[in-house]
Amino acid sequence: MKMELVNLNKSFQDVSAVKNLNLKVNDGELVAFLGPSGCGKTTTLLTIAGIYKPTSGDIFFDGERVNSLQPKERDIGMVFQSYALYPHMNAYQNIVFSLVLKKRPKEEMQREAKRVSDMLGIGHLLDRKASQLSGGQQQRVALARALIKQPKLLLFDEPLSNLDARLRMSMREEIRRLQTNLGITSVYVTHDQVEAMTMADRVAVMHNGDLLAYVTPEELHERPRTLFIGQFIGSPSMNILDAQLKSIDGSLHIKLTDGTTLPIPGERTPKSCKDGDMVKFGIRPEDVKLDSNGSVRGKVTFIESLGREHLIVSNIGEQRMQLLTEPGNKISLDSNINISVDMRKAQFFDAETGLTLLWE
Amino acid sequence: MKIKDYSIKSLPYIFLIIISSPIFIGYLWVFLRTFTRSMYGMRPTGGFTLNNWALILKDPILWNLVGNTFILALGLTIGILLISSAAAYPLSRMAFRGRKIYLSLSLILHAFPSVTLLIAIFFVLRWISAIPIFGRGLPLIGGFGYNTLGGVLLVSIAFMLPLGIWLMKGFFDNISWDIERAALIDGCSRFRTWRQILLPQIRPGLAALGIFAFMHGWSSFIIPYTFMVDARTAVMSTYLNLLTSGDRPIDYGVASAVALFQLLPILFFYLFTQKYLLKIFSGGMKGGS
Amino acid sequence: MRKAKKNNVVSTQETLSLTRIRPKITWFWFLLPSSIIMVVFFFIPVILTLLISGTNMSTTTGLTGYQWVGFANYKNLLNYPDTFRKLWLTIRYVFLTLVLFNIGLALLISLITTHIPKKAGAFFRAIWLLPRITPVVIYTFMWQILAAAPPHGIINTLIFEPLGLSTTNLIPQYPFFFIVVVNGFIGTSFGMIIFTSAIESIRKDIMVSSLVDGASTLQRIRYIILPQLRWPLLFATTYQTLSLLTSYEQILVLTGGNFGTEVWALWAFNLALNNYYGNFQYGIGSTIATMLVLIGLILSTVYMRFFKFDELVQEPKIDVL
Repeated sequence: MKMELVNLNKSFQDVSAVKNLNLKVNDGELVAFLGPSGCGKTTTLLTIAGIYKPTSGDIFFDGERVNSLQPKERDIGMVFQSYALYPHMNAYQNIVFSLVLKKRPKEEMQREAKRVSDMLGIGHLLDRKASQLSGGQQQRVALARALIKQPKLLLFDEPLSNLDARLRMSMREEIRRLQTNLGITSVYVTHDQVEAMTMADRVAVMHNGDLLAYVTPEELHERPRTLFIGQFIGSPSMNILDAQLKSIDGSLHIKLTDGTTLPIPGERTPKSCKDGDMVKFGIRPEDVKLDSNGSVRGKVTFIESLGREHLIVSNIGEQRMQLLTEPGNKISLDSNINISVDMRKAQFFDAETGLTLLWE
Repeated sequence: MKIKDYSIKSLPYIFLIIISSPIFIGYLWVFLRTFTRSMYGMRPTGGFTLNNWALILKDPILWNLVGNTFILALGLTIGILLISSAAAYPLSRMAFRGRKIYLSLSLILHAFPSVTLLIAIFFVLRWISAIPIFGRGLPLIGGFGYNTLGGVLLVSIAFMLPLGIWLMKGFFDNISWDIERAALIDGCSRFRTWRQILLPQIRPGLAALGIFAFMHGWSSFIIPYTFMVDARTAVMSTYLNLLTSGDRPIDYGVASAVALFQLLPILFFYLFTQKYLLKIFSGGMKGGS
Repeated sequence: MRKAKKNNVVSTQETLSLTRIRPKITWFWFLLPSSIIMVVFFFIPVILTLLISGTNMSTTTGLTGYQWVGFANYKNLLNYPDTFRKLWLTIRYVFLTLVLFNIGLALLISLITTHIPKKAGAFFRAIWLLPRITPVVIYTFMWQILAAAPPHGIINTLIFEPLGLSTTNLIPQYPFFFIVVVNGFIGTSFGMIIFTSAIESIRKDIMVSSLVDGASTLQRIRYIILPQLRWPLLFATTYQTLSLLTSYEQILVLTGGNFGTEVWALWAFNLALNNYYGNFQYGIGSTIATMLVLIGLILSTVYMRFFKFDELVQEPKIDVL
């Protein structure tokens, strides 16, 4: 099923939670809504579900306007962060509840329950109450409950954020596998960028009710359209430094606040800029290396072990730069280091508007 | 030193026992008196007897009263649970115009001393009496007008309703929104969500309010006393009032037996459901004093 | 492209509105029973009380033969010598019960029962809830026994007789004392519950650190507990004032209003509904009730605003009806 949001607005009292959202989801696609809490992503999801009425704008399912349809008439399945299992029913009753409401025959219920519970590997848990299930099991039951209706659209509201890290990884794969196999169009709300980046076909980044970007995960990482996205995507987050454009010997350089200059490769030339303009220079920590020949000099202010790597925070003049190194390096606090920067990965943003100076 | 320590430590207990003694003594006296022929103060003088109990248990009036009181208590329980849980649902969880005003009004009524309205309610009940059948032609409760058990029941429900609505609203407020959303997406109507998904989750709340309502109805005095003409055929409280305040000399043995008889279910509930009841007392006590 | 879509929008809207003629007013059905009850037993009676207070309606006039007398009832009331005597009685009764029991004793019991072992504390608090849950007639009957003349009266046989004091029924002798005590023993539990839960909710670390600082029990009560009880104290005081001012059930059962114990609320009730001679004075009874109703309405509205109960309202997180 194709889903489209046209000029969608939702406000509560005077607070605008979703602002003029336009977005299309293709048939069979999994789209992640990514953003910090309070950005309007869950509100959008609940508006698609019909739980909230849009303040203005339209929602189309396969070209048909569904604004005034009740949630139950929308042919959707939804999975919640809190699992939202009915606590007074056992897993089986939870799963078949929608069929009970449709007054389906008992054999069909049992058959369908078997189908979805086999799919999710919860066949042995069916007579347990919600309170007797672990978080992961509860979420599987919730997923089964959403799938048994054979919905045309699946909605996920941070389904994994109450699970522990390891379970989260396996559920991530499982959901993605099920979704691809069944080909159900899905909208997946999350604040976890790894989840969004690894699962989604396209990621919609939301902030304060605005849609900031709606592109593939790769695009999002490699070609951030705004400073916010650049910093929001990737962990540890992108270094942002104030810099000035400077033409040296006919080739464009940036000059950092401590006076260091770095050449800009041709394909990364900031658009519609001139010599002397101030820009925001962005570079990811993984693209910065310790290098005794490096032209940038910094002073180590903090070292943090991330397990496989060390995160080193250094000051370059007055500005902060984070970089990743192998743990073997013997670097001590307050020592001076030389750094090389892979300028082929540089990002440039307008100093005032925060918009990219590189990408369309 | 040690003796002084003890006396300081026992001081709070001594104070509590002295100040609570009227309550202990009152209960003890009623209990003793039902099994004795006579007493001099706290001292049983006439010897053990079951006569008092035999007398009242053989009395058809008593059983009639028990029936009435039970109907009143049960009616109040069912009525208050149904009406307040229905009203509290949209007040807690639906968006509609006038919701806040309705809530504020019921809150004002919750604090409002409803007994001041008894005079006017007397007239309202007389009007209801004039309605055929509904007013005074129903089996069991007589109708809903003046001098009927149904009328007393309606007024009792009304007086407890603001409390019921606010308690129930509090319970509904605590249910997760996601569960209700899931039910709506699964295909429930709001009515069905209320009935099949939400009510089962506030069972402890329903139990607490239900027990409270039952005890309240079982004890009720002022409303039946005001709106039933013959105190003997009204409820147990009005009957006991008649036994203990009439112009005739009081038969303390019989009165105590009636009192203890009425008290037993109350004490039973109180013993086993104290935790529930405390919730209600602290959540929204009113009336009495 | 855009245009085509717009047409599409309109047409689907029309078909949908056809299937959906009836507006969704689910909330209305849920609220209907309680609304009817509130209108019939609260709003109509409030207005009716006001209206009747403007008539001379009584048993003599019958329920139909009354006349409008305007504010005559109110004027007459001012001229009764009884009015101010009963008002003064009511004020003394409310004030003393409140200070001695509903607040004073309640606070004392809360403080003591939270400073002795938990089980003992809970036991005594459970005892003090008994007067509230005991049916009022039985509860009052117990006090009548306590106060009765020998051979029944417990106070007389246990205390007064051994001391050789005169022994008669104590209620007619000390009626005011008894209405205060009888109501006070019920009222104490309200404050007791509120204060106890407030004391128990004081953060443990504050209590512990005060112990570490070497505070004695009394110092801790004075400097840690009482300041935190300001709000519950204010709530109990205001709430119980209104409650005491308008309740009369216990006095009705204990004395019927005899021996100079007829407070205003009982006076109105006796005049209009509980007259020995069968001469029911609806007009003047309603006049007194009107004043209590007005006080009740004003105070309960003020409470709601003052204690910000209206802020307990959360916004619904579902739009569908």
